[in-house]
Amino acid sequence: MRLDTKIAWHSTGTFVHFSTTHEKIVLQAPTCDIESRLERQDQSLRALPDLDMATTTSPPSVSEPLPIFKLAQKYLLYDADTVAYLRREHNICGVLIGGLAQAPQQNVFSGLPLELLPEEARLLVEKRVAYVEDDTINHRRTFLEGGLGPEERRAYQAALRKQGVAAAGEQTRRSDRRKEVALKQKSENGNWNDLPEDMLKPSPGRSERQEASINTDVRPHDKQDDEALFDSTPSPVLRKAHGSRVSTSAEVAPYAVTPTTSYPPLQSSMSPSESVHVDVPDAPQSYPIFRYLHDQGYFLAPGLRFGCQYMAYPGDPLRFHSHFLVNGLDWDEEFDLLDLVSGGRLGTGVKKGFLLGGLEEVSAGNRGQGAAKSGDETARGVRSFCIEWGGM
Amino acid sequence: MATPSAIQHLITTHSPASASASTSTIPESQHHVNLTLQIAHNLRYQHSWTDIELLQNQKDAGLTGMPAVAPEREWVLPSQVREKWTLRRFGEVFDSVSSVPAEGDGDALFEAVNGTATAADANGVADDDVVEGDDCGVGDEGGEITTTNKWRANQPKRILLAILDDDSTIAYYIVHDGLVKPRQN
Repeated sequence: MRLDTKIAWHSTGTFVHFSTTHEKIVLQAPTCDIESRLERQDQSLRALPDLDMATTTSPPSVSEPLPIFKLAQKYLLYDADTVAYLRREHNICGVLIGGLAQAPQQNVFSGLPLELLPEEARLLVEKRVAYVEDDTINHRRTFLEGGLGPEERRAYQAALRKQGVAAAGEQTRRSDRRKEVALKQKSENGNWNDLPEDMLKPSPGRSERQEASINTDVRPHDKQDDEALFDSTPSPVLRKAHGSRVSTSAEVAPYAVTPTTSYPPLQSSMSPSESVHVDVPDAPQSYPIFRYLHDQGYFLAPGLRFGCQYMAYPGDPLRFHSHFLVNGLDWDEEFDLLDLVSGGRLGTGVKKGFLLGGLEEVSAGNRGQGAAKSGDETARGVRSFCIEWGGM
Repeated sequence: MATPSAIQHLITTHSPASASASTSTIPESQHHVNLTLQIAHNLRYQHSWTDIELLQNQKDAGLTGMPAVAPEREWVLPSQVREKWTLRRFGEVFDSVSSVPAEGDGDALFEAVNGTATAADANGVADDDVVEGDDCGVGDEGGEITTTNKWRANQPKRILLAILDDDSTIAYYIVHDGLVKPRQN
């Protein structure tokens, strides 16, 4: 699964979109030309064919501070660019919680949106990488009361359709190319007699069809309501059976493009500067050790699988096993030695260290060595202990 | 009257009440002394540790008797499973010890290094069926000459935490002061 795939579409034309409420978030009555705002989306679409080949396009620019959307006590991100950026630049992984439209009956692999732990959200806000936007308020204020005018809506729909057509065309072109290569290989070492004469030509109709669909916008823009955005286009087969409405689009249906964010076309209502520090998320008591480990360069993930609060990875979790099972405690919080035994034993069994840590409260004039070691302002005062089984 | 067991003998000869031990270096609390002695006995006769010395923690008397062992000396912190611990206590323990234990800081508990004629052996009740300690531990067993691991001084401090349960099971856990990556095995 590519993190930076921004737009999802369906070759079948049937289209399941998740969480409409999530999508319409930071909205404002638009003032500038809608086409210019769609530019970014167009660019990312043009980059899409490259994704399969290993050519790396330059990472999309994400400007800090970026918005974290708070909805129902959850901190969510909807933009794949933002998700990839935070993971790459700030060691923040979060958890993908969205169902995949193409595989809706499983939850092993999930997609956008990405949920951040309160600790992660807080850390990003404290580092001024992000700010928190209240989704509900913004939705009400900007989308329900403002939103797009009919003209802009139509333009947006047309632009989306254009993207869908282009994507469908690109897909067809690629599969033609693949077919050609495969057939050429076969013809070079295979038996010529088995091949029909017209096999090496691209299938008739296809090239014309593509041009037709790209040059002319094939579908009439008669629908003005929101539904048209998420119109489930009938599959090509169905359409053939019904007799096509428009003759040229008989065989290639534009892919239904699912924008995962609402900007563009809409824009964030609040300027980042005014919302910074408005809302520093509450985090559990274990936040100091979370922040400490993050500052040491560790990636932290929720630790339910190992019965701890966090798992600490020395690098990206896709590339490394975790090193520590982490539990955060208050400096004077009592714990049972049995907990230490079970944690230490489990950690050793899975080749990880069991780590306890917390903010050190130093009695006057008696600062411990461990605390003095770390020079970092934010990390100072956090002290941690690793426990492993003695093996005897 | 039956002969006292080896561990009973050890405890009676080293408890503060006993005249044979130097009272100055013994923790005040009888409970902790006995706990420490029991763990020392286990280390000596189940895990074949040598050169075990009894120490007194200045700060928290009675908390930490610390036997250490050759060839690489380890701090040992005795505890009972029902004790409540806090990060603060761990912190204070680590603050009170040096990174590498020195030899001869405390009172030797058992007389000979690998000796056959230790104090407990003389009474020899349990000695014949002593289980040899398995060797997968901290690499500190055997009668080699004490060597100082040159890497040790630069590493965070570590302590062997001994946890005693009522059925006299003792579990040993290594506690590191700081972030120490798990061993690659």
